[in-house]
Amino acid sequence: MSDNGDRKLRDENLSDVLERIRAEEFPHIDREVVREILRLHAEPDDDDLERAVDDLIFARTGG
Amino acid sequence: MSKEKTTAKLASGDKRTIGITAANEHSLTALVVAGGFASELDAAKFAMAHAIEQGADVGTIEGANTKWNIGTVDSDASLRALVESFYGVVAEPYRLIEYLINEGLRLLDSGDLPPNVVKLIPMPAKSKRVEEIADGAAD
Amino acid sequence: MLRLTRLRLTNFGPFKGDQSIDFSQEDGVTIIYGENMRGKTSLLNAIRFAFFGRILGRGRRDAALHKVGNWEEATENKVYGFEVGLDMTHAGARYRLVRTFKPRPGVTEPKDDGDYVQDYFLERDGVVLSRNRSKTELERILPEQIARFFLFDGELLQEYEDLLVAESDMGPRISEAIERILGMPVLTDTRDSLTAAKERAENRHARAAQGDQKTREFGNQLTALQSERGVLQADLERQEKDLDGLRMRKTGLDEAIRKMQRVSALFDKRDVIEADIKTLKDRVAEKKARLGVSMASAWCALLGDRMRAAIVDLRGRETQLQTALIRTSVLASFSAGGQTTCPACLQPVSDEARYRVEHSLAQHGGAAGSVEEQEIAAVRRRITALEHFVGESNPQALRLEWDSIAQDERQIYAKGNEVKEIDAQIADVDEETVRRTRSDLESVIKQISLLEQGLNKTREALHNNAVYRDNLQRKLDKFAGSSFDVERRRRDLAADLEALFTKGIDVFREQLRRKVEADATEHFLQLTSEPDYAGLRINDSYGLTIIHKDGSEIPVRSAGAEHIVALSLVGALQNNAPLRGPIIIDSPFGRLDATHTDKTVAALPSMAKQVVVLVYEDELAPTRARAGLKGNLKAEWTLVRRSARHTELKPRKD
Repeated sequence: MSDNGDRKLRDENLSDVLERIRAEEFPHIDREVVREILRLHAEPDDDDLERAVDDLIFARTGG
Repeated sequence: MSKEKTTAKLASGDKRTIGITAANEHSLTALVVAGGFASELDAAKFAMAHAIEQGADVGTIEGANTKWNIGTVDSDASLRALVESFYGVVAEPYRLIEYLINEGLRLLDSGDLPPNVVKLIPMPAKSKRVEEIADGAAD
Repeated sequence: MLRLTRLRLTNFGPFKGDQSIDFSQEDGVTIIYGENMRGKTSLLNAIRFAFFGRILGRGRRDAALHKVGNWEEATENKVYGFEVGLDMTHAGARYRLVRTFKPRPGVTEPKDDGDYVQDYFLERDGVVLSRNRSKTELERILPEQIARFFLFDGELLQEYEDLLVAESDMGPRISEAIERILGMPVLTDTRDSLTAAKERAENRHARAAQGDQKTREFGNQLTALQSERGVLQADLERQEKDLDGLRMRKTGLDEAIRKMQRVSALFDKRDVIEADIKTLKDRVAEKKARLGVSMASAWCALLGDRMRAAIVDLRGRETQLQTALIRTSVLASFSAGGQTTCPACLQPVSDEARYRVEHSLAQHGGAAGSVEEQEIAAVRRRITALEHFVGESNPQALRLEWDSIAQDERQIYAKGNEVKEIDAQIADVDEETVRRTRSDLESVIKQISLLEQGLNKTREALHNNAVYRDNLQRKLDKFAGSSFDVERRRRDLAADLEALFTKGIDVFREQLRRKVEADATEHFLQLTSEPDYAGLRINDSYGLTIIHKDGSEIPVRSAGAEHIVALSLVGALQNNAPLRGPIIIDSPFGRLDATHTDKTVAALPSMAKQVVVLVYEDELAPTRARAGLKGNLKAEWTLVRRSARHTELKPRKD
């Protein structure tokens, strides 16, 4: 039922999965942006989260 | 052996009716219930036997009511014969029987019952109550 | 990884006074033995209370806390309330959690939850944490929504088994909970946050377009559509919440109906028992009547020995009198008729012989006359009477009659109790209730249907809204050329990030599901005794089926394997959760046969590093447990009954 490739995929963690998708389908997005998004949401501080996300996007788009 | 037919030849002055003192009424009632007796007279005989068995002496009591007629109690004079077997010939055997009945009730009412009585009247009501108490305490 | 070190109880449930149980720090299994009603569920609730300040009662609903304090302490010593302490380790730190439930100051006889106050303290490595810090730490160590994956009581296992029924309404809720333990919320929350960011960016873009006369019209329409989307979104959320509530209600009603069906069977049983009781009572009455007759001669049994002794004496006296009378009669016949022959043997009697008889008579009281005759008659009357009475005496027969009645009365009592138990179970069910419940259920089903239709409409409207917006957006982009370039790039980036995470969710979810499937299969094959089973398959909503060797699917229910499939799922979830912790299970073997019990016991150490199992001995004999676990069995404890409301936790010594 499972082959080695399958097992490898199953053992990927969240970051790996996102990185793989980014590389394959969204190469124009920087690796660091994805990491930063993950970090911002790791311990959500509701008050500032929206603003932090907007700031990140602004920073990356010449704002 | 042929039984001699006897009319209850009463000694002059012997009682024609015998009964229970006021103090013993409740004891008699309790005995009827506990022993499942069909009648008070049956229970009374049991009390009498208890008194004899416990070694009661000859005696009399005052203040008894008039529950039973001698003809009912001892139609064939066998009880009188019984009492004479244990106490010899007495002047008033039925007065003695009345005494023994009441003495027996008094003994049964006071304190623990000897094992030979308990063997015949097992008293089931008590143990059931214990079970009910235990049940009530459980969750 | 969370590991429990020690649980300390003070007046919690039946655990009177201060009691504690230590958990081994080595990986393995701890078994706590206790008969039902001894406090096993209380132990589970104590841990729940320590972490969340709540306990569960029947139907997995919150139960009142004011009833939890030890009854004996309250009654005997007026001590109310309770306390639970939990020592544990997590991520290399030592924690001590103490949660209390005490009467409010000034309240001497607390009556309900309102009369109490609850508080808790958390220490980490010996330092007491602030209130805020304590809250966040606890949330991190064991979030409440995933507690269900660590603390298992019988009803939870039942829930799992319900999950395995495809048509169950609980399916979606449980699969949500499962995704939570698997860490999905991090992903989904992030994606939602990015969706919101994208909408904000779109909004800014639309407002910018409004600011320019050329693109104002586009801008207006776009902002209007975005507004509409907001409204539709809110509608959707509300409808989904309502649907959730209705589904829960339906589950409750389904359960109530199931209970009522059980009840009608109980009603029948009750009737049968009552008929039995009546028969027994009639029998007892008959026996008592017969006993009354037998007891008439009970007094004879009482005097039996004395009467027998008296008979012996009387016979002796009779013989004496008899002898004297005969001698007298012989002598009389000699002197009266001057005869010289013995009237008995007709032999001539010598003078010498006559002299001897006279002498003997004199020695024994002289001639016997009418007095002696009267006496012998009386003696014989007495012997007759006594022999009659002795004949009446039969104490053994009386004993048998009494015993027979007692036995019947015991049966009546026992059956009376059975009726009481049934009454307790059927207490809140009557025809009116049944009718009402059925009609409530029908009504809820209708409401669910309507709501589902409404939801679909809202989703459709949202979809249309998205399509319009999309079209407008593209038209605006073409029309605007390079104006609002920055807003557009922000919008695009946000949209891409949202898309990335959406894809990530799908991939990760699929991956997790397959991993859980593989682990559950491994557990399942360990637990089942059926050699033709190849494994388990899990679908999108975590519905499970068994895979036969030949590739066909077998619905779990028809294989009767719900219990072990549920346990397999539990083990697999534990293996894959980012939060690892102990599993505490109450009576997992209750409905398993011997083979599956052995297999489940052997599989326990692989389900989590620290496993605590609460069982009763009939369910799992200690010898069986020791044989099955060997070195993995780290400790054994017993719940010892001191009274109906006092249990003691003791290490098992045998």
